[in-house]
Amino acid sequence: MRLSISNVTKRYDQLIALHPFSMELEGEICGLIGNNGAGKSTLMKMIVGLISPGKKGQILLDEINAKNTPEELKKHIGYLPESPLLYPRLSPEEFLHYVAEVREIPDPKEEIESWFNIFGLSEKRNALLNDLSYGMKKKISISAALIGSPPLLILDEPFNGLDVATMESLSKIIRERHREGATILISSHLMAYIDRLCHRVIILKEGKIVGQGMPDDLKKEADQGTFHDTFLHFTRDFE
Amino acid sequence: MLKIVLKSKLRVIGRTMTHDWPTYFILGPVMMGVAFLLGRRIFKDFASEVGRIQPVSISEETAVRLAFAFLALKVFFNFLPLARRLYPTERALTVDDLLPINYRIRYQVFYLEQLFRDLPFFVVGSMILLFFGQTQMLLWPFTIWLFLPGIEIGFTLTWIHFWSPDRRQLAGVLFVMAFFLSVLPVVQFSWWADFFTLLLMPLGYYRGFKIWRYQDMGRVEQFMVRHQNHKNKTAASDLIHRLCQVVPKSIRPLLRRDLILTARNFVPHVWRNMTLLFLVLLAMTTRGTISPAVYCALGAFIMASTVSPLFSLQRPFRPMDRALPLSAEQVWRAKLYYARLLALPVPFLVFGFEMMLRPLPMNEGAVLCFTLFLVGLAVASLVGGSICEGDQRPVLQYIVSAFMSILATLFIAIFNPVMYLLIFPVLSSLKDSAITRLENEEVL
Repeated sequence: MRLSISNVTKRYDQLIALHPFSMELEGEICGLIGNNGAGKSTLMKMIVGLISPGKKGQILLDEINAKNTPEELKKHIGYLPESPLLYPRLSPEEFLHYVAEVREIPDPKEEIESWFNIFGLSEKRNALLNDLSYGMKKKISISAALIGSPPLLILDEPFNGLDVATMESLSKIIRERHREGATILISSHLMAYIDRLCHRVIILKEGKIVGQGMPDDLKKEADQGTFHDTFLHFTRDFE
Repeated sequence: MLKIVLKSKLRVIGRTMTHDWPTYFILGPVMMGVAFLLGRRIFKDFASEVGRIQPVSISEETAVRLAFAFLALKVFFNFLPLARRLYPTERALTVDDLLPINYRIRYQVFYLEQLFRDLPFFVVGSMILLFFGQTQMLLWPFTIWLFLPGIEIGFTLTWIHFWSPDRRQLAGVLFVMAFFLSVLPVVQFSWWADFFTLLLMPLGYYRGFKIWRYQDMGRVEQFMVRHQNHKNKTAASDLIHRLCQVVPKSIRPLLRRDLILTARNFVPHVWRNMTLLFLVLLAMTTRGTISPAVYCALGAFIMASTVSPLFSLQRPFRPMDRALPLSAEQVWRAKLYYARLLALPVPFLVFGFEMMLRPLPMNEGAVLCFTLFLVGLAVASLVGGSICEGDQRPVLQYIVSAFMSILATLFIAIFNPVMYLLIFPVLSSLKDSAITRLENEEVL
């Protein structure tokens, strides 16, 4: 599906959290990076329909307009928030069944089972979410975002709180989803993963785009050897 | 879809209830039974000392005016808490906001949740009517209860969309409303109520919940952040800082933290308790021959009992306390002082009210003031001291401390103020028990 964002903006009184922003995204893995408060999560929340895109702003997923039919839009989006949003007194199994039912996924049992196997959570399936560690909650949250294979994935800091092995598994899953045709937008502070995974990277600073392009092109433009240094180059304060 | 969402919500509520079932179904009834049986015995023996309430009669017109005034206050005080839950801000975001659930279902579920939250108002309203024998009016609280969530949701969303999330502007409207409530003929009230219901409910449903909730979310979030940084908050922090100078140094940081958290609405119960205290003071106008010490004890109990939900809400953060060089006794003592500080104004408020209603000669007034102070201090100490006796369950702690408070009030106010000395061995025993419980508490 094609995601078209045009002229979205966010202002909090005097502070402009996001300057007029436009982009097109289709069938690629796009990285959204920036320091804390750069506007990454604000933009992601706008795409999901949690924040209004402003009077002139428009977000379209193919023909679906986020302003007019946010529920229709959410049917096609798998969103992973920065902190896991779960019902603490449900078990992982009940929670994933609930998400699957709302997403109208027919017979989700097998898929839920496969998520438990991928993340090694089979033994915890009946524990209460409240009693799980942060990393486990994150895994459930990822499963909830990816369940039903939504064509657009918005992943806000997906690697936070995960162990190295799970980070690798998640990278593999993201690549697989892309091969199956999904469009993916990822924000992260782990530059190595952004470098390896993304076809295109957008660098935000104080709500403005300060750089965008393929990771290798950006490295060349900044004349830096690593993506970590490239990021620092684009986001440093010029005197 | 509604069925799916409700099923999961009910499951969560069911789990919460199941988690606490021994409290609700065994410990609670046992403690209440014991308190009732012993209390009945005590009151049978000392009833004449306690006194009788003055017969009250109010006209139907006054009752309607008062009911509308309370409803206006409810809407006013519930404005910010409701806004916090209504808008999908960082703090209130739930998984349902991320899922393709249409706004009609979300509204219906939110309405039902609000209906559940408002249930105590319906019960209390009905009980007041039953108390005054007005059974023919029982349909009123039921009707108001059914429509109130829709009015509140509609009002909050509309007000924030057209004006601001700031409650100070709303306070101005409240004054205007108070004026109209006092001058308008009562027959017009139902017309106005119908008009606002018919206006706000559809507005909240079709525009507010569907569109404005997302449009105004950023504004509300920003306001909440600014609200926390407001200069009044700094003034409150300064006041708390000064207040804490009177307590032992070892518990000062803990107490300061608890008071700041209370001022910043970490324990929303404090507002409910202040409203209840206001009602207790109001009830003094009809106290008949009941001792003002009873009202003082009740008021002190209400305010001091804020410590119980605070302690319970802090449980997830207890590992931070455990990682600091703090002894269990310091933790317990900080809660004891917290309860005392919150209840401190109560004896003086009760005394002030009493002197306004029935002025006493200076020497009698001084004795009364001293007795009230001792009663308030004893009750607050027992509530704060028994903080660990409820096993993290506020309801259970209310019962334990209420029972001890009744005894303390009777001993001090009816027998002799010297009886206050009896609370020292009780507090010592509560301290030992609390230390054992805190040291053995499993950190989650």
